[in-house]
Amino acid sequence: MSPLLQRTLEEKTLRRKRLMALPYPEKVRIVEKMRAAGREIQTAVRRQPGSL
Amino acid sequence: MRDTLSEINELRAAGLIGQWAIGGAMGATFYLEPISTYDLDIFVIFEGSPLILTLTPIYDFLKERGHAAEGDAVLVHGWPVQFLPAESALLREAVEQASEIDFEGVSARVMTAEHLMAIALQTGRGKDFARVLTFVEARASNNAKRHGILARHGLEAAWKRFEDNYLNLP
Repeated sequence: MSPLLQRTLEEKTLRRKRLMALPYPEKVRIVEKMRAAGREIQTAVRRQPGSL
Repeated sequence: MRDTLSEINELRAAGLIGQWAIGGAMGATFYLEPISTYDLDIFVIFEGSPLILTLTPIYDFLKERGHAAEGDAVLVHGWPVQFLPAESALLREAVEQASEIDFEGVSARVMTAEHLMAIALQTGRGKDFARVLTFVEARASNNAKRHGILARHGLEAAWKRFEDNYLNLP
């Protein structure tokens, strides 16, 4: 594994730990944002010509 | 979600549901990193006979308070809420032993990490195993407590298979 990939994976692990340590309401707000983003993507996909 | 949980407490106060607890992805989010999910799974103990169990009174109560049904859920203050009867012994225990939390001034209950893992193991879809693995990697559960739950509910063999498939890799 290259040092760059190793460092990237370590940073990802640290980010996950930081997210896990957030208070629950803060995590819920992040989930709500993810959900809203998912809906926007769905809407955009539906607007594409030829989409079902 | 604060207002959503407050409405669920109103259902309890009205006697339409028994004890309840957050499970599923939003339950796991309490212990892990935020998990992308669409709905809020609320596991509920109903005191009446399971043979006459119906969710209609819940839906009617919430509808009167301005919350419309959305597919198999009810949209309560922006959250599609799914009410799931805690019918099995494992689910019932998970609701009974859930942790009491304060969500921005509203009391709520979240299943323990160990019960969430056992339920995911029992459910057994790919995403459930992935969630159990996340709990293990995050060391977010008490091993002794988890093994006690697995033993009580006949899930030791399932856990052994999970270990062999995902943890004891060569």
